[in-house]
Parts: sequence; structure tokens; C-alpha cells
Amino acid sequence: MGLPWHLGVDVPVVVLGTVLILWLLRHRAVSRHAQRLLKDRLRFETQLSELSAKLIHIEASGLDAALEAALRQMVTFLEADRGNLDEYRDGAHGIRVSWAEPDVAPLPAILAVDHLLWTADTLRRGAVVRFSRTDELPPEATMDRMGYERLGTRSHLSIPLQAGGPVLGVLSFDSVRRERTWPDDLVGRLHLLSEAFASALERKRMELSLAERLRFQRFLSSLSVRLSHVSAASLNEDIQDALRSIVAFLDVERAVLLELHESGVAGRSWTIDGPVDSARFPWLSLQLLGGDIVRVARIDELPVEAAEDRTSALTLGLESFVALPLRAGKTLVGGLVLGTFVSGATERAELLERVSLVGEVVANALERAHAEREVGRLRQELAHIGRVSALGELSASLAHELNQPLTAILNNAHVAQQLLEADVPNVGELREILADIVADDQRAAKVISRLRALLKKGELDHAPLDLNDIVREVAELVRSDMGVRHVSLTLDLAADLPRVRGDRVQLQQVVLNIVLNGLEAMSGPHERGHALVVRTARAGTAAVKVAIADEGKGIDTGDVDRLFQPLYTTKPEGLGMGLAIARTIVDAHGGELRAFNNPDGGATFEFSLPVDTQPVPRHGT
Amino acid sequence: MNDLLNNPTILKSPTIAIVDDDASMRRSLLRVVRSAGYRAEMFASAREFLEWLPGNRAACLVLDVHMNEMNGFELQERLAVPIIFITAHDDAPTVARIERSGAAGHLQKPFDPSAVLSAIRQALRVSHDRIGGRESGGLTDGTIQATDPLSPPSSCEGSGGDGGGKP
Repeated sequence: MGLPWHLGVDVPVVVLGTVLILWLLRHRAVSRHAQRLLKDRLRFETQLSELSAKLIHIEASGLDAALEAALRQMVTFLEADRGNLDEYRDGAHGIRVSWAEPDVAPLPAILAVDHLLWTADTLRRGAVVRFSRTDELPPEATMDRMGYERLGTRSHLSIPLQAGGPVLGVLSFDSVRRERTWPDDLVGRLHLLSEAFASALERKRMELSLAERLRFQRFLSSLSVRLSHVSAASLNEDIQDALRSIVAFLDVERAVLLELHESGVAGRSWTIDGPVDSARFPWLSLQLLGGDIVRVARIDELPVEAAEDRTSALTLGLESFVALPLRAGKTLVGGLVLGTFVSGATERAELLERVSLVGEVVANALERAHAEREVGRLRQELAHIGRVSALGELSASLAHELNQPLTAILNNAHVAQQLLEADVPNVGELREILADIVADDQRAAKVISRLRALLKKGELDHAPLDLNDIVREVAELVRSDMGVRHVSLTLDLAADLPRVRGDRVQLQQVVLNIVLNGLEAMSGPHERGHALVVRTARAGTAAVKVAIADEGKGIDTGDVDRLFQPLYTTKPEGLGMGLAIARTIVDAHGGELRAFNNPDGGATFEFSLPVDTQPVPRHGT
Repeated sequence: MNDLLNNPTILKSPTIAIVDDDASMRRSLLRVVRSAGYRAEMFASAREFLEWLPGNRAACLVLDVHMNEMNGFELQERLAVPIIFITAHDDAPTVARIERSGAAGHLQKPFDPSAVLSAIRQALRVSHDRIGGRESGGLTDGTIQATDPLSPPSSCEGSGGDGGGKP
């Protein structure tokens, strides 16, 4: 007998249904798993793109903090225990950003790299280092295994950071509390993240180097500005300042500036402590004259013929140095020696590159100072000749200035001798005579010292001066000459005149030359006025002026420009140097000398000088 | 005070007037002249001398050429008294003018005291000769009179120089 028909149909249906249900159930699980995977993946991708976006848009100054935050986020997300970001720097120890879960020991800031040599080598080749257990490491990584175990690392993943170029650093994750795997797809996706890290590092590096370059440029321009003010008078201080800033910026310990001449004659030398006598580098000078940059990694390397150089170097504390020739245009003007107490420390390539730029700036300053000194020397020579000739013109009145007291002394001494011959010498009278003799002697001495001051050839002074004093001193000098020439001299001096800065003798010479010029203008065949007026006054807030007005024939307005040129004269026996010298001196003092005719006859010569703004007098000039 | 500068005992000798704008110079000259026994007065300017002159007599003037306001020559023009000029400048125009001026003497600084005294003596002698003759020896209107001009009452001065001039 057979099964009822419906039964015969039911069984396959049930089986089919069961299979279907089972399939559906299975399908749901698979689908749920797939969904979960998809969701995880989506979350990871989101995380990655967020991190990447953050790293790309962050400012350079906030980059370090952003990197650390990103690292922390990744460690949490990957459920690792420690995350590290190592940045390589020119093969030296890098900078490490490390983050660890709260109950996990972080990595030390600097690792003993030689314990992870295999790892480092693998990463440098651009390969990933990955292990779930330390014993997965290859036999050649024995040291590394011990290293990891010492650090408590059980599983590890290191991904080299590259942004198209060399390896810039390493992104690594440690698992300390358990062993874990690092699946391929995870590593693949972390590669994406590593690129974001790499480009952030690259950007940071570029911005740092840009900032560094800017800093160097700023330093160079500030050095140029500083050295552009170098004057012969403040040369020592200016060079000392410049050397100090060079030492500080280039991070060397010593800087020596040698003045050299093409002739081979060594000039002066300076260190950061000022001018030095002990810096004799004959051998080095010879090399520099040949145009070579001289690198001495260790002082012992110096050749035998450099014995004196060695002694000087040791005296100055140079164990290792770089010396470069300083050229202003094509002329060798000196050498800059930069050194350290530590042997071999001057090998840094970027130091040399910078030093040559710094050297150019210093060379130009040195050359300028040299030229200025030369000009100054010539100016002083000229001024001296001018003073000698001016005093020649004054010789008659100077003779008077001396004869007056000498005659009085002789008279008084004669009378005193007579008084002493008396039985009872008149002591009171003698005392008065002696007092007069002493006073006259002092008066003569003053004339001599005034003369000596005017005739001396000396270094230029740079002192605060009262122009009223200078006018008075000159007036004293020409007083008797005025008498001979029947000229009256009137001084109209402003009270509370601000001080100027300069050389007393040279400014006296300016006033003297102009006064003598005025006297000349009022002498001669034509009868003219007989008054010379010297006025001092403020010229605005920043200058003071001295105006010397005569009643002479006036100046030819067509001659005004030529008036101050050397060897221009309208006087038959004039040298034509007086006004030229006066203008040169006024110019050198930062002032201005001009001439114009007075409305009621005669001419006025007027010079202005800047008011001294230096509050404290400078030393060592 | 200063005996030589304020000597009241020398009364009868001729008065020598010293006019010089240099204080130390005129004091020393006054001492030299008084030490030789002359009466002497000193003045810092031509004007000071002219103010003193009415009622006083000077037998001889020791006069500085270069002075402010009125110089030696200008003063000389107003006087008829022997004048010994003092200068410190050997500039040709001044020397020529002194030579033309008819001065009794010319001393150029620095000079020896004996030169002053010898110049004074000579000037007084010339003056005496003239007084013996025609001139009255004072201001051009004749107010200065020289009396006993040849020697001071108690001259300490030995034989003088050659009448002044360069030392």
C-alpha cells in the first residue's frame, strides 16, 4: 500500500523548506557578517580620511600636536597598546612621538638603535616589519628579538613613511598585553595612513627648513645692517658685536677675524672679546691669500710649517676650525676663522655654506672700514695742512699773544730784581709781582697748548661738544688778529645749545677757516665793513648751526658751487683749501655747510651739525 | 697795597702815562717806570686817559698801538706830547705809520725793561729841547706841560739801551 498522496508530496516539501530555511538562516549570518565587515571597513576608511584631512589641513605650528593626536586615535582604533612615530633626521637620532595606553609603559624617547638594527635596515629599504610573536622574526634578527622582548613588545607592526622620496620616518604599533595578528588588508590600509603621516612630516620638514632659511636670511640682513654702520671710530666694537652674533647664530664656539692684505702683510685681528695681538696665522694667511677655504678637523693635522698658527690656534682655544678668505669684490681683505673646542665639530656641510655668505658680508664691511680709514687719514692729513696754513695766517697775532705775557714777565722780573737789592725788600710788592709773573706764564702756556692742540696730528675724537665753546676758543685765538685788521668780532651765542658730537680740533678748524675767510673778505684795497658776527642757534629740533657773517664784498653767486672746491681761491696768496677743508670736515660730521650773500652786503657762511643723540659716551674709540 | 703802583712819594718827577688795554702789560710797565723813580699813571684805554687828562699833565706817553675803540694813532692825533708806541706786530703798514707819525720811540714786544726807560729818557730829552724852543708839549691846545723832564728825582736806572726798538 502506498503513502497517502499528500504525504508523498509533503516530505520533499518539508525537506526543501528546511533546506531553504537553513539556507536563509545561513545567508542571514553571512550577510550580517558581511555587513559588519563592511561597517568596520567603512569606519576605518572614515577614520583614515578624517585623520588624513586633519593632517593635511593643520598649520605647521600645530603639526606636532596633530600628529600625536592622530597617533593616539590610531592606537585606540587598532586596539594596540603603543603607537610611535619616529622621524628620521639626516641619519641622526630622530624625533619620537610616542603614545601608550594608560597602563602600558611608553617607549623611551631615544632607543638604543643598535639593538634593532635589522628592523631599522628593513624599514630603510622601504619594507614593512611585522610579527605576531617575536619568534617569527628571522634568525638574523636575534638582537632585534631581544630588543623587542626587553621593551615588552609581543606583537609589532612598523610601516616606513615615504612621500615619494626617501624614508622620512616610521609609524609603528606594539601589542604588549597580548599577541595579535596584523592582517594584510589592515597593513594595506595603514599604508594609506602612513602616506598622510609622511606628507605631514614632509611638510613640517619643508616649513622648518624654510623657517630656518628665513631665519638665516634675517640674520644675514641684520648682520649687514649692523656692519653697514661700521666706522673707523667704532670698528673694534662693531666687529666684536658682529663676531658675537655670528658665533651665536652658527652655533660655533670661536670666531676670529683676520685682516689680510694682498701684499701678504698681516693686519689686525679680532675675536668675540675684541682686538687681539696674539692671533698670528702666517701659514693660514698664505692659504687664504691663495683663495682656499681651509678646513682643519684637528689641530694636530696642521703641517710642520704651521707651527706659529698652531700656537695661535691653541691660545685662542681652537681645536678644530674652518677658515675662509674674505673678498670684497676681487680684493682679499681678510679671513674668517670659525672654530670649536671639539675636534671635528666644524665638518658640518651646511655650516660651510653659510659661513661663506656671512664671510661676504663681513668682507664688505671690513673693506668699507678700511676705505673709510684711508679716506679719514687723508682727510686728517689735509686738515692738518690746512691748520698749519691757517696758523701761518695767524702767526702775527699769535706772536702778539705770546709776546704780551713774555714782555710783562720780563718787566716784572726786572723790577723784582731791583726790589731784592733793597736793604729791606718789600715782600708785599714782591709777592704781587710773582703772582703776576705766574699768571702771565700760565697765559703763555695756554697759547702754546691751544697751538699744540690745533697742530697735533691725532686720531679723530668723537666726543660730545658745545659749539659755543668751540666758537669762544676760536674767538680767543683770533682776538688780536682782529685788532690788527681793525675788525670787531661779535659773538651772539644761543643759550642752552644742544651738544653735537665730533672732533673738537677739527670743528675749531671749520670755524677758524671761515672766520679767516671773512677777515680776508673785509681786507684789501676796497674799503668795506669791519664787523664779523658769529652766531650759534638751533636749526630745528635735530640740528644746531653756526653762522659767520662778514661785511666783505660778498660772494659771486655763480661761484657758490666752486667756493668749496679745493684750490679755488679769489685771493692772490690764498691756497684755496680753507673752505674745502671746512666742508670736508662738516660733511664728515654729518652736517652741511653753505654760503649766501647778506641782504645788506657781505656774505654769511653757515654750517649745521646734527644734535648728539647718544645718551652715554662710547668707550674704546 | 702795591707800593710801586701807588707810590705817593714820587711827586715832583714828570708823570709818564701808560695806556695799554692789557692789564698785566700795563701793570708791569707801571712798575718798571716807577722803579726808575718816575711818576706814572696807567690807563686801560685812550678814553680813560682823555678823561684823566683835564687838570693833569703827562710828560710822555707809553702807548699801545692796537686797542679797541680808539687806537694809539687816533689818540696821538689829539696830543702834542712825546709818544713811545708799543706794538707786538711787525707788520709793515704799522711800522711805516709809526715812522711817519713822528713818535718819540717805538718798542716792539718782547722788549727789555731798560729799553722802555731809555726810550722814556730820550723822549723827555726831546720834549725838553722842544719846550725850550717852540712847543708846549700837551694836547694840541697846549694843556700838557713837561717840567724838569730830563731825569727823575731818584733814578735807579743805569744807562739805558739805544732808545728802544727791537730787543
